[in-house]
Amino acid sequence: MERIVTIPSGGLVLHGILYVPASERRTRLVVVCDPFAEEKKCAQRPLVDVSRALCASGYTVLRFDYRGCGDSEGEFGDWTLVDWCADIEAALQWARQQVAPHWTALAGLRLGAALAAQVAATRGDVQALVLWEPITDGKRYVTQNLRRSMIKAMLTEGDQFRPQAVALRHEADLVDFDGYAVTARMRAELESVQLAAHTHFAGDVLVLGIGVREEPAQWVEALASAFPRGQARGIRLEPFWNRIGLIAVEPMIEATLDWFASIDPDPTRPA
Amino acid sequence: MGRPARPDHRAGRRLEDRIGMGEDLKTQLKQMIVERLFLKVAPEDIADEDNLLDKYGIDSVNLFEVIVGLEDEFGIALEEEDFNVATFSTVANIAAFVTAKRGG
Repeated sequence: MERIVTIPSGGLVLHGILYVPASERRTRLVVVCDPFAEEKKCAQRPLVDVSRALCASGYTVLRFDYRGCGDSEGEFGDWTLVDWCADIEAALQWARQQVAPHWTALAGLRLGAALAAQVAATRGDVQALVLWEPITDGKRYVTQNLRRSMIKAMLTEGDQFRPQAVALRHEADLVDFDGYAVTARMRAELESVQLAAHTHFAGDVLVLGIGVREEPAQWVEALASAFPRGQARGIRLEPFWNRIGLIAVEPMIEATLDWFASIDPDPTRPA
Repeated sequence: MGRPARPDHRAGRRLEDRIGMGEDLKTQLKQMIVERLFLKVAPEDIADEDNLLDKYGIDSVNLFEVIVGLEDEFGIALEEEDFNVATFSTVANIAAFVTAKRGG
């Protein structure tokens, strides 16, 4: 069953979808944390598919929009990552009150993974963390956005293209982040993202590398090793958060469910 | 976008492995481009002078992946002045760019 839900957070109302399995002995909750801006838009449908697949396998799943995003209240430019972490906390709190889970996981894609890790590390009621192709270094993430701006300008501005002008635009108070107006405050918070600061989270962690190779990249292995109970896995899959057009994400669903099954604490659950 | 790729035993191999197999730079670049863009063509079917943007529909999103590939797999660091459409339009041009960046 899927139902539209509203979640109070910071005086605003967040929009969400709660996926509840038909029947389960135990309630296992997964709260999904979205990526940033245009990546969220591209990943929308794949994350719906992931949520439905997890639900079909017996997990209760909550997907929600951060304030200023999607169908939630607020304007995008008014908020920052601090507010979005508060939204993850609010969503978690709300869901736990609604379904009283025996087990709770936060699952994040890209920047959502970094925010999920930050929130999980501060709470005692999250048992597992799923990091799908996480952003680990905010400075690099912002630099890559400049790269994308350069490339777009290079392809569209023809003779008018001036790389120095694009770089200058990237230093302004309001920066074009793939079509989203990012304030200086938000940019500073993005640049300060360091996932390594939250590797003290004591629960089970899956770091899933999504890219050109089946085996996990070195940085995926290193990140997983930094957690006390981290595991690294890799799947070959197009970076759907960066693509126009629908990409089937079965490998991501399979890897996540396979890992969930491997850490399932219920000794009575059939293997 | 081209005919389906023939099975390629090199698919997924790391760059250092491919260098060990004696592949030249253009072959390595074609392999990287096919892998990173998930193109349904065999690397050897990409001609050195094919216009990648026109023939394979490479857009800004794809070009970003190519540039990340050049940085991650070929050790190239791009400066602002390196962003030029012509540089990335063909495998031959990309190879010349990489060679120049490496001091060759």
